[in-house]
Amino acid sequence: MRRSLMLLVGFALFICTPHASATAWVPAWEQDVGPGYITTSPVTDDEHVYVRTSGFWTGEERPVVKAFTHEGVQKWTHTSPTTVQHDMSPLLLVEAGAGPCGQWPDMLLVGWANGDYTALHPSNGTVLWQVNTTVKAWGITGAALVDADHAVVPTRDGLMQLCLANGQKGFEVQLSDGWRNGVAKQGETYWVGSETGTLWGVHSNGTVASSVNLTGSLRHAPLVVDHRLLLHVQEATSSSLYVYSTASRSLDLLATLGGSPAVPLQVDETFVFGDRQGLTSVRCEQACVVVDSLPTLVNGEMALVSENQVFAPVNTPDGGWFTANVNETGGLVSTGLFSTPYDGYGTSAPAQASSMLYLGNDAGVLMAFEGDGLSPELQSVEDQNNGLALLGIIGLTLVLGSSATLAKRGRMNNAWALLSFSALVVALLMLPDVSNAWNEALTASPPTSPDEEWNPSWSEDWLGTQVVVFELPEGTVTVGGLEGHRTVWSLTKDAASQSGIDAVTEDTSLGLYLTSFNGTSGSGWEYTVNGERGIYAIDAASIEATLVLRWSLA
Amino acid sequence: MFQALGVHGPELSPLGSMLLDIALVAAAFGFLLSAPRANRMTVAMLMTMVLATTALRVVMQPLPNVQPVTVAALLVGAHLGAKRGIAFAILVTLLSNLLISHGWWTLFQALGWSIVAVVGANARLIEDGRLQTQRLCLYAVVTAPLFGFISTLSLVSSEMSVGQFIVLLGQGLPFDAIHALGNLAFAVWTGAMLHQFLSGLTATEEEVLAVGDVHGFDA
Repeated sequence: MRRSLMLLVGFALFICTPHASATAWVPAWEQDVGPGYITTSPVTDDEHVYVRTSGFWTGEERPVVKAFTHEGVQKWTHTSPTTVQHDMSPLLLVEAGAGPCGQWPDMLLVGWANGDYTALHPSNGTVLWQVNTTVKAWGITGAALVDADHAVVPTRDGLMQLCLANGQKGFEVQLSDGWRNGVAKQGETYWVGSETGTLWGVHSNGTVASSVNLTGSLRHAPLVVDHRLLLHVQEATSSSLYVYSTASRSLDLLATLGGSPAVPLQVDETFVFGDRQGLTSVRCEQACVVVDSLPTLVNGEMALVSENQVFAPVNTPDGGWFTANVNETGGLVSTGLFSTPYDGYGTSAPAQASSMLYLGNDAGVLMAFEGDGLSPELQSVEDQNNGLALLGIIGLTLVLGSSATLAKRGRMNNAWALLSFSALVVALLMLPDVSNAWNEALTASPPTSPDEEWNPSWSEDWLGTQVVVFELPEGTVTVGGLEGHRTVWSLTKDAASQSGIDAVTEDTSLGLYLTSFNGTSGSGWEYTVNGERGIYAIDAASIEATLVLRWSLA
Repeated sequence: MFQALGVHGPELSPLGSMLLDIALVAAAFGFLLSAPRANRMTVAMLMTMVLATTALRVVMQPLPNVQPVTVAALLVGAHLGAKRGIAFAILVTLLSNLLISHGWWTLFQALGWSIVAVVGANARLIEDGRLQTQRLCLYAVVTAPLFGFISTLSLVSSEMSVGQFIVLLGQGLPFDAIHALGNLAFAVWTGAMLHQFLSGLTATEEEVLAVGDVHGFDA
């Protein structure tokens, strides 16, 4: 009896020990935004996720910026009719504000390869203002910086400062040709690199303050560490990591790394660099030192997800996103490869918004994943809950330990009393969740099958394909043998087109709504998938490769 | 389980409710009267036990399926016999449900706890005047799903299939588990105390028995 009680207590202690958990990301929706690549990170605000395409364009296709709701409904598209290729300037969201040069609303700033720099209204994609800059084969490809009431933009051959309110140029200076470079501010000086191996220092009044000769191209915004700048310089087949002291104007080589550097990332006190050899972490105190490295192949942007997890796009034919945790001392711990259905070449960092993670690569598909990453507000609640959980675990540990002690001393009744009471308390706390989960498991409907909706009179060629049935007032029309559609709307549109049915839709705040078929709207159209009534907007409702979609009047 | 799930079976009319009350009270007094005669002290103490258990059940209502009735029914059955145990179960169920939520299900709950009392009367929970705590704990746990099953019968309707009933039973399992854990805690925490209290009743009755006032126990 005593032994069994102690074993029971030990088991309970084991299962109550907290275990480390990682964020799990589940595919939520996807949108093909191609043709073209997604080469820069999507950006997000409370309402939308914004993404741009780039690539080598032919025919009528042109690069676009698109906005989607967080549920995957497309809200607007802005197309540049004149830009041609290499639209790789990262999107930049600016919140509404005011300064000496005026007031401005929320804006989405977009740099174009044709030299245009455009401020768009994030709500509808219309142009607020636009300026033109120099084009030498291409125009703007670098990352801008918002400095108070101005945007500081690396142009093809220099730097310009624009008033956020109206796009008016504060200054524009000619430096040397740049490519995917970025600008950083230290004190009153803007620092920007170039393709010609020069690091330029430009005073905020527009005068060129200094220039530093590097051993190669600088394709990122310098990382500012007090009076120092960290520079990952691209050379012919390798790269060099430099520390440039703006105080002593000395340039010190910190490390020689792999070729094609990525845009570095700051994680608290740690700086993470990427290249063809992998990731390298650096920390700077009195001196900057390389702390750790991990092998992989990263050429593009990197981003921080869930507080301390670096996501770095692996730029290979089957690449996904290499992930690694950065610990407090700058150590890197690989957490594996984040894989998606469209793994391949990629240089774009993911964007995290609340519980959503958005990714894109050269496949040109914007992918949304949903996880338990939380907004700061929810995180705060979660932290509180975690604190309570920790207290609960401590309390339970004390109770179980006391039970074991009492049992060891032969006070079995007291031990059982304590154990049974604590078990009851824990069970009562768990009851709502357990009961709900159990109910869901008991009452879950089995997945529906197209067999139940299959009509024996249909062609056998349609077996294993997507079939659409339109129950129109003038008669039922069935279209089968369709393949590859991923949403109800995509399939419906195709089937309607093939059968000459005119489908009219309306974009609502809840998603796309089908208004009428052949002019008949009645009291609304409903769809079922394999006999199950659809509950999502038609452009958000994902479908299987084999199904029967049925449209009928409500 | 019922309070937690919010399902209560068929609705009773006022007349039906009154007839149910009368039937239950009549059954309780019938079992009390059919049991061997008891002295006033025993009856008074049994009623005190009924009221205390009722009050405790009402007070503990916010805790789903955690209540003292099952363990009390087991021990009353063990000490005072099946008939008084059944009367105790019926009265506690009726009184507490009048305060909590009364209806068709009261009949099944009363039946369930009555069966628990009968189990208690036959489970040899008291041997040589000593409470068999382990056995009490065991019966406290196993009678929880038994009670849950009987109570769930109140939800059976003519439209319900066997499969649906099984799902209904399955849905109640977490609540039966809580009931079992609660019973275990009550058995451990209050078993000895209740045993002492009920043994006092037994002793009082035995003293009266010695002078030929009553005819012994019906257990």
